[in-house]
Amino acid sequence: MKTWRAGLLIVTLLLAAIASAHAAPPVIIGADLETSDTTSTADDAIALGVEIAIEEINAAGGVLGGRKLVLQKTDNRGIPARGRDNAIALANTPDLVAMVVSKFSAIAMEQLDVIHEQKLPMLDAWAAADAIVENTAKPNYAFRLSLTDSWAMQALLKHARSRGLYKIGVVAPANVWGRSCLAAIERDLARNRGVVVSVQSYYWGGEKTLAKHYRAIREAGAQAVILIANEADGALLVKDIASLPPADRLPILSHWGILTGRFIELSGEALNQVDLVTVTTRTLIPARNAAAKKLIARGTAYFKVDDPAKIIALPGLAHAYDLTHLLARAINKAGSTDREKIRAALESLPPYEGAIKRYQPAFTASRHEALSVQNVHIARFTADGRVVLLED
Amino acid sequence: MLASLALTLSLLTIFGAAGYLALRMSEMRRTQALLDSAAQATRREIERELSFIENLIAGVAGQALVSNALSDSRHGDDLVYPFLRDTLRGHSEFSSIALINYRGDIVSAFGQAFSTGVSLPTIAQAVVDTQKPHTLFIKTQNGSHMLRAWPVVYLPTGNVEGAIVAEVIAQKLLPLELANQTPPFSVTLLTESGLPLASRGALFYEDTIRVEMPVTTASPADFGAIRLITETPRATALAPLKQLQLLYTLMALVAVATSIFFSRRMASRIASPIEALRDAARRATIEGHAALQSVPVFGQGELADLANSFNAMSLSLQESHAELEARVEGRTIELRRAREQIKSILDSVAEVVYSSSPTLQEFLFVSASSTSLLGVPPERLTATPGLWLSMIHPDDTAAVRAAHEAASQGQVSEIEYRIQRPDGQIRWVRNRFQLQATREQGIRVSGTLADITAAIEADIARRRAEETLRTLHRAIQASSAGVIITDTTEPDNPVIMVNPAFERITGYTQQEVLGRNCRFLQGPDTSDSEIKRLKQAIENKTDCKVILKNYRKNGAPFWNELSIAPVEDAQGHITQFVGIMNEITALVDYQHQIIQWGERLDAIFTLSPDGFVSLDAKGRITFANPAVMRMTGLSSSALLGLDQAGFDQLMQQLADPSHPYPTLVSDPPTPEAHREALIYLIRPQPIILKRIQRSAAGGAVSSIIYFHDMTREMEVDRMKSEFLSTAAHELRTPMASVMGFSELLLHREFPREMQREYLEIIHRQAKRLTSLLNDLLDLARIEARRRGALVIGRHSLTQIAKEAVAALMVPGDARSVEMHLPATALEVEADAVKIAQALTNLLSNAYKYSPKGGKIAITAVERDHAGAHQVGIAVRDEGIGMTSAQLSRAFERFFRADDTGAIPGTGLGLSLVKEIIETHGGEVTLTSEFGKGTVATIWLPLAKSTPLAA
Repeated sequence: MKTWRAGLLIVTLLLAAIASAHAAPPVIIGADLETSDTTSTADDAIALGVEIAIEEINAAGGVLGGRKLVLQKTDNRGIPARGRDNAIALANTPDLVAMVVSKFSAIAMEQLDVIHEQKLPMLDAWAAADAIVENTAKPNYAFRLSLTDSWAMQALLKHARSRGLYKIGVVAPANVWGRSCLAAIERDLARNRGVVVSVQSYYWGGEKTLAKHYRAIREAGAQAVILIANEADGALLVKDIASLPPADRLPILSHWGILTGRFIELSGEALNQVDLVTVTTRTLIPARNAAAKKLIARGTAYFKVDDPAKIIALPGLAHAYDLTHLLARAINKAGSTDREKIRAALESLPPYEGAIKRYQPAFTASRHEALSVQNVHIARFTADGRVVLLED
Repeated sequence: MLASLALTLSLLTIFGAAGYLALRMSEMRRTQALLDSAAQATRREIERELSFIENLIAGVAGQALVSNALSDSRHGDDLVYPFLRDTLRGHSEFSSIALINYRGDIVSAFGQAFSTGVSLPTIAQAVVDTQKPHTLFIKTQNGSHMLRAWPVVYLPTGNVEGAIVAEVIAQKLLPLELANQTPPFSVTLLTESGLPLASRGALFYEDTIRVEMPVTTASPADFGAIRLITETPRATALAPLKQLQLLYTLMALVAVATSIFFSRRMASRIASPIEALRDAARRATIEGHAALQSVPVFGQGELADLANSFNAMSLSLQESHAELEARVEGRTIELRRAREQIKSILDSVAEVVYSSSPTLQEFLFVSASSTSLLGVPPERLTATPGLWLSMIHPDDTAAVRAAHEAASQGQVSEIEYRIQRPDGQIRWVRNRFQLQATREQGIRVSGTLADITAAIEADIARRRAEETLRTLHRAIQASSAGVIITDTTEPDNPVIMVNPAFERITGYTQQEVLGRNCRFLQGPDTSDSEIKRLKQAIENKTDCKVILKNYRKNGAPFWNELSIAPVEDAQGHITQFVGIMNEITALVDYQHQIIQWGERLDAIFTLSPDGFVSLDAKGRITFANPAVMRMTGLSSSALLGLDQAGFDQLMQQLADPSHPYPTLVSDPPTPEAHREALIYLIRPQPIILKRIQRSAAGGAVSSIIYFHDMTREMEVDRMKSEFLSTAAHELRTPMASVMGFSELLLHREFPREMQREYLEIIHRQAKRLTSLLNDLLDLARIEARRRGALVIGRHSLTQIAKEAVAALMVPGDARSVEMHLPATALEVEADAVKIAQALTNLLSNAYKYSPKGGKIAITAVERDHAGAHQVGIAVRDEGIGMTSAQLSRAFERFFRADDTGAIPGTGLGLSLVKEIIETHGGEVTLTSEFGKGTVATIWLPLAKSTPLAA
């Protein structure tokens, strides 16, 4: 009797061992983000959004009938050349199904030929250059759940017109993002009233002051400044303008690059002395469902703030979260980690109730933008450091 | 005697050898010291060059545009390439420079390709890993190269993400000319591993004296250990000691020989005195005093005396001979010194002194300065026939030959020409020469060559500068813009120069303004803020452009567009300001006119009741005035930017579907013609618009669409025709009775009662016709003239009411009117006759529509209406009253509440009342209850409270 029992135990243990040995390997999501820049928080928000979604999916049993999702991150240090190398490394990782890209349009643009060569779906939760998704590749592996430069510029120029501001000066970086926005402005002004009186290019992260650029714009007779910049360069302009007498301060209409980092801290008191609005997407405020509420709770805890409106890069968190859930559905629909099938599955998902909105559906074969110009809004900063939509 | 000589020679040899060794050591030390100082000088030159290279590369790496290019993988080269090109311009030591990213890919490069063997990925990795500069030495076919990589910090993150890599030709690190050529030496640069980088000077393969030292720079970065070796051949260093060495060797040989000779002589000494005397005498006889020498004296006696006498004679002869020898020797030394002196003088003069054949083919003598002036040492010139001629600039050769052929003997000729040095430099020389006939060498040319390159070049530069200055001066004088120059080094920055255009513009002459500050041009209306900007620019020493209202000498103002710029002297100090003034009065006036025009047009278009829409050359709406928005209810943002089709679409949505909307034509008619259409809108309110579309001749506006609101005109038209048909109908009815009954009476005989009855009918209808026509005429008059027809005065409304009632009452009339009028006057400004007529109409209506009698009352009332205080008279009856349907039509012309015809009237009474009262700015109100009676009230504004005039 005792031997029988011992035999049974051994058989059970053996079965368990075999089962665990055959436990399916995890499915990997790559994320090439930027983690060197101490003032930038957008990519932290993107990573958090992906991680929360992965936790939920794994808690609900993973994908492909029980395989866990795992996030594999690389650091591009804000450099296009590194982003490209990281994309190649991620593409060569077995069981890696897609790559989430960072906030920099210049890097995502550099990765386009890699993802199409390696057939690697690219998920864009922030970078706004139109050409990332509007590329010439067929089939197209780039998917975006974010705004585009075109929509951002349309919204800013519409806002300008509503305030009677028709003469526009532009401060833009001398790189692919700056050129993308300038092209978008040109397209909008070909249809609407308004004129660009001065374009001032600056060196990305390399300027100590933008006072000269601003002076040139003032002298050209501009009524408002469109600012294309990330947090650090944006804060420079805010401080430069705040140092002038009030009569010399033009309204600033900013692209949402300033939302990608510690813009409020970098600008300091100067922010309250300028007339600044920014473009953004409406995401979690007000929370439309339980998922949104959960994201708000996790986000406020992670960024150590008492109000979700104080999470400056909130769109990154929300976009990445919805995007990851959409990816998980595509993996299951594809039924394997075959990236070509997953790409096709992303284009044919059923409608989905996300934290931001109901996607019906998010993507189609001809449309790789999950959001539309209707999701784009104008926001301002409150004195206590919140980002609030003008219409709220 | 001989023994002591031998001894002396031996001692001399020993001491001489010791002395020679000491001299040799000191000579070695001297050479070493000279070599040291030359090496130090060379090292400093190299270190200076290395520091320059280092600063240049680090400077490039620190540029923001270089960091930016790392974020701009597609177009980074567009910005960086021109920068690299401009930075390296004129620096031939660099063969190439490039910006590479962290992977070693070239983002932008200028110059030649990097040498084979350079691995940019390896360099990139080394720099990014260590975050420090990196150096590499490479051997190429064209000599060694140094590769220097400097880290590029990516400014947004502060990380090292790339490098500036420059390839430098190592040979160019060495100075072109070596310092202090005595003793002749060579320099060699070696890397730590012994790789020769560069060398200059002849290489010596024999035994050398060398100085070796490391090359370092002030830069914190290490260049890798570069060593500098300076060397000179030992033989050259010791050349001065060679003769001394020879002398001492000879002396030693002589000492040995003497010793041998001495031992032989000792043997024959005893027998030799006589022999010696004899021999000496014989030699003296044969060879003369030169052969005289002392004979030995042995012992005493005659032989000794003889020997002594011989010796004395011999000695005196020798002394006189030695004296002569010494004199000759002294002369020879003097001659040699003089020669050396001349040579050293010739060597020390900067001019080259030479002596050559008349054909200039061969040189006998060339002074040392040929090395520095001609780049050829004198030895080469004298050793190489024809070299000199080949160095003369080809363009000048003929002239030089001609000058030499033309020169006459003994006369000094002079010619200036160019020579080409072997190193490629061109030098101007002044050649003075003379033909001389010498006994030994026939005709010779002696001359000097002086370097006048600097003088010639300075002269050319001066002439060019003068030419430029003259051109500039002419330009300034001819300029239509005023030019003014002020001296900032003098107190109050006075004017030091103005041009004729300034004088013309301001009316001041140059003499009047020189030494004064420019502020005399300012006046009461000169903009303070512009002046402030100007002052600030002068303080900050920067460029500035302002527009000032300035004043001419005669006080007339003018607009001045003034640009100023600082002028630096050679030391970079600002010494002057140059101002360019353009009179732009006409331009400014024109601008003001345009602005005024714009404002005027803006006011006209804003206030115009008619709508205007203008389209630009692309056919898009660029302007719509407020009237258009009022008419269509569309906002300007909805309209602006629309094209014709879009505009048509919007308008179609507003249009009345029962009237087809006429779309705009795509090619609007010419300015002369225009196209009209009527548009019926039902939204936002029903209106009828006349639309006229015209093309515009101007460039900015392609066509104009004009809207005129026709609603009222169309309504009036409609009402007029309606009125006419009603009036005709109303007139025809009594006329038919008149016609009918008068015809009856004409054609038939009726009893008298009936005749009377018919005539009464005719009379009644004729009366009705008359009053109808009177009312119509009244109405037409009032309508036509409006307030102009009224005789306005200050009147008491109560008084008018009383008079109207009294006029209506005929004595004995049973009907009575209750009057509720206050004691006060209730003053109004009105035409008393017309108001009385209105009241009469109301009272007669009250009577007529109270066929069964009933009370009639007039009451004075007051109210505040539409912000004004009004007084009124209400007429109340207890007659048949009106239904609400009748009440709503009561003011219509020809409308009558009694449709039975029992009550006489024209149906125009109330219309008249309404016209009269509304012409006075008042109002008529009507309330009525069917079967119970009516209240009609006229309201007029109370006159301003001034006392009644009459």
